[in-house]
Amino acid sequence: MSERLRLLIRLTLDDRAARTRSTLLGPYWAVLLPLVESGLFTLVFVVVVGVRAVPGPYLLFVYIGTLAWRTFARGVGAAATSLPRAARLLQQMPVGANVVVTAAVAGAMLDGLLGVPLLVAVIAVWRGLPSLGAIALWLPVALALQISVTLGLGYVVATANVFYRDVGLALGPVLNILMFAAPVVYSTSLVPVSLRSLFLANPMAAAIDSYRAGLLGAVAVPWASLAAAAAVAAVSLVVGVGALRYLDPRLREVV
Amino acid sequence: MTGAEPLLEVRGVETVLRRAPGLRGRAPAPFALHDISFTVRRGETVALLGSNGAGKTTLLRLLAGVYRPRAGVVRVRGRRSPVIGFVTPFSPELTVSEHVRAYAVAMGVALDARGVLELAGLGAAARRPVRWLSTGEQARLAIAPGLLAPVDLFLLDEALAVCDPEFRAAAVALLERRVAEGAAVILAGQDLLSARLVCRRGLVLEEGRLLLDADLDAAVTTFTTRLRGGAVGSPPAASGSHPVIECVDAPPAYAESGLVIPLRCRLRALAGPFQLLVAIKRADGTVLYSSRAVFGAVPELDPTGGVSVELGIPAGSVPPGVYRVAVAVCDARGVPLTTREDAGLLRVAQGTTV
Repeated sequence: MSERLRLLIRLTLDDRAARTRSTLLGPYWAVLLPLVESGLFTLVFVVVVGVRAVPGPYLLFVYIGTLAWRTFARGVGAAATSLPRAARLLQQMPVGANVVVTAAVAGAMLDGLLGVPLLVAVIAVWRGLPSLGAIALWLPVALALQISVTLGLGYVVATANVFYRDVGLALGPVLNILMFAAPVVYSTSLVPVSLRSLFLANPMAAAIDSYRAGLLGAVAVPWASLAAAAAVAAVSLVVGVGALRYLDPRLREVV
Repeated sequence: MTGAEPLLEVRGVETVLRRAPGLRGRAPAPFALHDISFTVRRGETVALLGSNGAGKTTLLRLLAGVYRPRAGVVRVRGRRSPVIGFVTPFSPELTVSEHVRAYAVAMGVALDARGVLELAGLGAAARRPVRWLSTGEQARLAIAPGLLAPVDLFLLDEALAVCDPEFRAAAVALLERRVAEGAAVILAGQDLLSARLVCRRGLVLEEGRLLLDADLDAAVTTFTTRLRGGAVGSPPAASGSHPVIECVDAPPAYAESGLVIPLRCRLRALAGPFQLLVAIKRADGTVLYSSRAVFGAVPELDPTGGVSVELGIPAGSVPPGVYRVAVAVCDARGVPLTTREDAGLLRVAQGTTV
């Protein structure tokens, strides 16, 4: 195993340990919060507002969306604060800043994965086991999109937050607002057709719809939209990697 | 042991530490290092002296490869340690064991975890989160892995200044052993006691420039002179007269007597509270034992106008042999006013219990 990979795994495990050691529920917050949020959305939209949807399936529908989005948001948030938190490490050892940020994102994504068994169990109880073919087709697509865009955006905000701490302060509210630009609580079918291509070019929108296609048998994302989303994710990754690599020597002087 | 090619070569190094743009207008001016050049060979021990903000830590970070110089070259022909400071580099939520493991992986070396815990005196605290440790324990944990790392160049930043005497003695012995095996040490800071225990050579930094590269005594004199606002080569600008060490009476002693060997120092022209620093050195100049005594006031003058003060050395701490006695008179803050490298000879013979 290469030294970089060993370091990445070590920092990922240590980052998770450091975040969860003095907590009661530890990593399970990553599962619990989307669950509570999904229950709240179901209560508001289905029971109070009276949207024409069945509460059970809507709960599943919205849980997939919130779990994916919260995992993304936790990853980007962890990336933003990772470099200031690792300031001593960065100023004592020639450890790459990209390894530190990647470890923070990986830790948050591992937390998110804890929610998957629960999700599959609930789906199995409610609707029977999802088709393995659909899962094998759509989950890798969704994961690739989500990992790429989380890392790409994570690298960018991590770099920016070293120079302007405003980024870290604004990130939480901004991600909450952006959640409504993705099909977390509503279906893509409600988006006007003229805007749908643009809407699905958001990698997280395409990722969430792909999760639903795999787990709930929902309508598949058109290949053209997937290609556009993949291109956006790839660009964000390239920009993020480039920014972090270019500014690494400078950011460890000011971190 | 001194290799033909330098272990560390620093040539024309310049850098400017940039400030965060978000701090524009509120941050201090960018800090710079100017045209730093020196070499360090295997077996050398170098004290990097300078006042706060002189650039010691910045230079160490450049040597460790953490910072990149704007100009010039830093070449290390061997493995170098990270900057070994007294603050742990990982999250204080990690346990002591996790910290040691992370340190090894981050350095890309195999570390003897048990040896690290033993050196740090934290064997019983291996599963405790670092934040539960006392400040002293955290400092030992921060330093121990770096000292045991299999490297050729040790870069210490004020690391020994905050340690208890027992750990410092163990750390110094460890560094001496590694230096004898061909490693080199650069110890940055203002802790002159540690510098005297570890180093033979001194570099003085001032406002980002290398002011002096000389033997340790000359470097300490320059550093302390500059600290008091004097120019290089000028006599110290201490208040009152400059103290004089007239002689040191180091009597022959028996090693196994278990008694204290009394050292009598005759001093003149003292003013106000002072400290007396005594080091017992081997023939090769390495320090075997050191002691510091603090005097709240100048003792009564004898008829010749001088004073005699006494310091004791536990006989058991010095094995039989002939040693040089070095003495320094320091002001109340510990800044040396006068030093005498060869103030006397101490002969310790194999003896019987009295």
